[in-house]
Amino acid sequence: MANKDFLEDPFLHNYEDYLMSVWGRNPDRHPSKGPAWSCVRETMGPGESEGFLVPGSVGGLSYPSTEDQFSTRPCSPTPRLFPKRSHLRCPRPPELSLLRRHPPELSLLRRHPPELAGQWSGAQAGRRRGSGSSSTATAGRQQRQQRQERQHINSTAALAKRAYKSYAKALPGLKKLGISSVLLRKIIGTLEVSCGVVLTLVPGRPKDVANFLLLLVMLAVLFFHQLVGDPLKRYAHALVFGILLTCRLLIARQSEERPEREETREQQVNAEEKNKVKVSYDRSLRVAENERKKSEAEDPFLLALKYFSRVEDGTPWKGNDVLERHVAVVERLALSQGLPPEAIPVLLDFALSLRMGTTLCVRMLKILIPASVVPQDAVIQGVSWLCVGKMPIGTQVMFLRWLLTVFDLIDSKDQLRAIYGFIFSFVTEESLGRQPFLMHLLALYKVFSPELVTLSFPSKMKSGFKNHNSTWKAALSSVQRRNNVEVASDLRLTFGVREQPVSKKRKMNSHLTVPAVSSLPLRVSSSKKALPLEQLRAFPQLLQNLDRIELPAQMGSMLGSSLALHYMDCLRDSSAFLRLNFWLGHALHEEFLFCREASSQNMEEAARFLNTLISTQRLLQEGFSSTEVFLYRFLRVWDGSLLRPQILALLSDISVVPSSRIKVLLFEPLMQLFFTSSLFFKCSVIECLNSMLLKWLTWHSVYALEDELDISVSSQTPVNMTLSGLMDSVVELVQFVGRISTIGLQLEGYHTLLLSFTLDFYETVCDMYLKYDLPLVLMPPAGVFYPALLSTSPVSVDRLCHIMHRYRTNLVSAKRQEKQPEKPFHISRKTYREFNQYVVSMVSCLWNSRAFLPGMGIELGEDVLARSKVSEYWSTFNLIHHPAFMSCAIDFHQKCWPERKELDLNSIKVGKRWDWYTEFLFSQGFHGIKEFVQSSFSRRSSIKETGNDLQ
Amino acid sequence: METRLSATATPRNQTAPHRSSKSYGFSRRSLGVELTSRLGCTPGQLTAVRIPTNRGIPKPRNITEQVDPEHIALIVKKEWKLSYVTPLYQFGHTQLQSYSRQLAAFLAAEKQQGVAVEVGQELGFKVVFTAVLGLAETDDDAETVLIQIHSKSAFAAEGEAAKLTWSGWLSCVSGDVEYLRSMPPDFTCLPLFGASGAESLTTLVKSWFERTFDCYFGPLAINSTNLEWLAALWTGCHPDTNIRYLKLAWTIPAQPPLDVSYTVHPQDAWELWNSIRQESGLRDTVDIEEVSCFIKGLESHLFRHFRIYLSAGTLTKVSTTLGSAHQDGKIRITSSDMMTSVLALLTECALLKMPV
Repeated sequence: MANKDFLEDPFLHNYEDYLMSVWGRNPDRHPSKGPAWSCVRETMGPGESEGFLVPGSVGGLSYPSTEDQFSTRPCSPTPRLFPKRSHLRCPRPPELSLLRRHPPELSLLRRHPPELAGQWSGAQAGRRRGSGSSSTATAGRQQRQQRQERQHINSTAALAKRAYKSYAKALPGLKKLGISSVLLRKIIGTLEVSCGVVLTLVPGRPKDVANFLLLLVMLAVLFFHQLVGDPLKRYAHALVFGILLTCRLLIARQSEERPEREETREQQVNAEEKNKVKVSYDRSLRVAENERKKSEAEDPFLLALKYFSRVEDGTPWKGNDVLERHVAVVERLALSQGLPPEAIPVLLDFALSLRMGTTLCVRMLKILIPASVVPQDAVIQGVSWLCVGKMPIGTQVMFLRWLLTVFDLIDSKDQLRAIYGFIFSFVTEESLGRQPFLMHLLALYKVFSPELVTLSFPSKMKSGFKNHNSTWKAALSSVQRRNNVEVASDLRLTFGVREQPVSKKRKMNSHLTVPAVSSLPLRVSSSKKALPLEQLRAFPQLLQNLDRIELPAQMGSMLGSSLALHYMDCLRDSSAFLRLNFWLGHALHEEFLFCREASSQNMEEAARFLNTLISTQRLLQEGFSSTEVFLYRFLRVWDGSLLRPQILALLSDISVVPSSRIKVLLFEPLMQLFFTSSLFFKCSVIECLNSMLLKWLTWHSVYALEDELDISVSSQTPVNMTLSGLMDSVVELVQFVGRISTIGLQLEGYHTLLLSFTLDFYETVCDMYLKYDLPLVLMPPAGVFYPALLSTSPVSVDRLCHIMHRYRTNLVSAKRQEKQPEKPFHISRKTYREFNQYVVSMVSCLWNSRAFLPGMGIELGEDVLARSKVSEYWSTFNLIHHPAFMSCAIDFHQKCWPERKELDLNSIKVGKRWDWYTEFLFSQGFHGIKEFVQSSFSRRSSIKETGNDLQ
Repeated sequence: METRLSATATPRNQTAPHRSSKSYGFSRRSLGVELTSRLGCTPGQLTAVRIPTNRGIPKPRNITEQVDPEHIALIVKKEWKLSYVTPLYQFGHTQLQSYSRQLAAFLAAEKQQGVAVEVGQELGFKVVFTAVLGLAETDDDAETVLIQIHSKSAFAAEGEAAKLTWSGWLSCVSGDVEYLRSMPPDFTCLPLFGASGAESLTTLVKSWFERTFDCYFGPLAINSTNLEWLAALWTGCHPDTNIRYLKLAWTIPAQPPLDVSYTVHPQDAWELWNSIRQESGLRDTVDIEEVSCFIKGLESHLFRHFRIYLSAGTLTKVSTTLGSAHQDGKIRITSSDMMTSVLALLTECALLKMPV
């Protein structure tokens, strides 16, 4: 009986027949012949194939996995790099600051070269006058100087020559060295000119060197003057110039002693150098050294902090570049990320101590924007500075306003409360006057604690608080939004913290603001012990009071708090969910369907809202029904690009759609979008449907109850979804994906990316029975199978092999299940036939080189094959000649015959080499092929054994 | 409230070990969907099904017998800005007094936000909630609620009575029976909200309702189809009550935009409407085809004279002596006779806007 059954099964019957015929003809190629095969067979019996691969991680090959394919795509610029480097960039051109810093130097450099010439000519003219008879004649000629300038120059040159001659004579050692007067004159002249040029034009260290050289030259000149015995009048100029040079050098050296100052100058120099084409060798060495020094040096912000904590009282702030730089560093950090808590006391202390004057105090207060919290000590210290009494009123007011702005961010207020008496007396009685921004606050305080506020208020005050500190608040909120953390970690779980302030107009129009959690005091609660949700502060408290928590007045507010969401997770009140759905549906409809206006800010807000919604649904592990209703309507008007990631993520969360409606609600709008959009949209749609299917299957495997045996009736409502109803929907979905991916692949020219996403989907489909316990096996359509089989990407072929292996495993266990009487489960013969045909195609293509031959799966007309002009077309898709594996074959060929010059891939097919080659492929990470080969081909022996037993 | 107590274990934990199965337990996703599931249709189909293609012929009737004429007087002859409202949670017609107090306190608090309020001070607002009995057509309709806000101006003389500065109502007339029946008992469906008065007060009242009853307001526009219905409805009344004129306004999307105001003699309009009715054989119901045929007739008449295709534009306003309706959701009901039919039509519009 069993035997007959077995033989009639088209799947096994066909298969064995086929394999026998194949191996009978080709004994060499029998894959399970070698020792490697048999050994593998022992470990992998047919019953042991329980484990399956994690999708997307077959072997060492990296597939584009479903999760990170698109999430990683929009590559955001890494923000870490910029702050580190940005301090290199100077706030203004470096040359300018350099010049400003050394005004005397500038004038010196500009003035001296012409002066130098005059000085020399004067000195030498004087000397010539007192030396011999010819000099008097020259002096007489010189009286008509205006008309004979050229002659004058010539004569001064002649005089200089003579002076040098006397120098050379006075120092006999020069003669011995071979330095004539001409050479001496040239050396000194060249040195002067070149050093002067360097001193004028080149900043940095060469300037100092030139300065030094020039000073030496001056000393030498003075020495010569002394040697000759010139009167002081003659060398006074040289003396003054020498002194000037000395001073300049001293000043330059002094500034170099301050390391940080030097460093920035170097940096400025570096920055400048980058623009210069010509960089000398030693300079580039120095640049490298500076880089090293800089990397060792501290963070500029810490340096700034150190500076502000140590800076002495009375340091001038005007023209203080060091200060400017540090302030700039602090400002940049404050406005971009906010200041860390430990920096605030330092900076506040610096500002309020007025160590560098009021202007700087105000400036510092303006940029004192905390990143997270303000330490209490800093505030108390600040208040204590108020008592010192040297602070002008304006600054005191400024400090108070700052204090009010950051009041909510002070980490603890116990000590601060202790000095409230002082603060109030200060605010009300000191010379502060009546500050408009304080009046309302004080008036309000007077109601609560009249003993603290002694001021009397005018009876008719204009109502309302004006926003006095809007710039601070704006900066603060932007910093906080950027840091993406709510004020403090312990506050994050609670409900007090609201989103950033929204402009009033927007608030009126916006529907996407999550309301604040509050309960109604006047509503009659069921029990007196009830605990309003907004009073919850921590998770343990939630656990303790789980049974007496009162829901908020507005259910929508629960979306804004993670604690509330945890509570919602265990909530079974259908009214509460209905309220939530009304709110959510209203918000979504108003924002996306009924509302016409759309701006970039709205989009940002909308994306944030949808992301909150997505994370909520992920936490609860199911979608809200109002989201579904919204999505079904929105899909009809969606352009496929607006908020695509969010919409698709929400779409993948929808619950099982009854098969009668699925086409109208889901498939028709999706199909329109799919066929008219780009490749990437197609991929993301397939990905979305894959994750939808995964969620349905998971839902099935988790929620399925055993006690209700209702298969036949399908009252297709979400509440009473039956097994058959679910199966119908799953079949519809899988067939839909089969259709659109077939056409999509054709449209996109069998793009590997789309193929990969499609195979992802079928990796889910092929395991529906074993992994998710859904008695359903659905084969991929030919439009997906053959493109994957004949794909040029080895990854696709490998994954197809893996999928076929999983199909086989599922079918085999389904077959076994079929025989058990208690749970009858039938898979149609058509499925088996389809599977067998695919296996035959694969084996004939990849292993047996019998592709396109009759009865081998894919068949093509003779004329078509002839037109292709490929002589041995049957072997073009075996593992050696397959376009996906050709490179592996060549690789293998080179490893086998490294000395061979010509390529003969057919030689791989011969004898043992085929087995080696397949082993080589497995070692390359093609685990899918390995699985397929091992599971499919090892059947032979077991079939044989059963055959023997039956005989 | 008690149902919450049993919710400590999620259904996932209960059913995880049982694998092979036939049907699915009660999952949380179904909570809140009952509304739609009871209707026997899936979400998303809800509203598509409910758009009616025909209506009964409205009969002008004197409702003063059922409804307090004072209340009617408060509703007629004012222009109302319409909104739709999602169902009110835990709203009770018996607690209107308490709501009056709460709303007055809320308004005072919001108006004087930030100002120190002394206890026992005169609040300056007086709010009256009134149930307008008799306006409901079916048993499932909740009774209409009328809200009036009286306030004293800051400079009012001593003893001067507070003036009525704002009024509004929440109504439901002949709402979709299935929808209303599917609503859990905690909810009261009053989908239509009309407000007349300062915009700021409207906003405050809305936000009080949102906070107190967890309901949400959205603007209710009357689309051209519904305006056409109204035009036909009012024209049909001409033999009983003289409508004096039928005024229609279109906006043509030309450059520059063209506004067409089109006044039809009531007798001509009625004759056109009557001929269409005669043609389709005087049934008890009016089809949407008849209505569009009526409007097309009017449009082609204008085209014959001015060569302007009105069908290229949108109908923005319809008015007769019985009332007027504007596309942006402003409506005026002048005659109490047709009030219920108009309110029924608007209730239907509002229910179509319901998100779930």
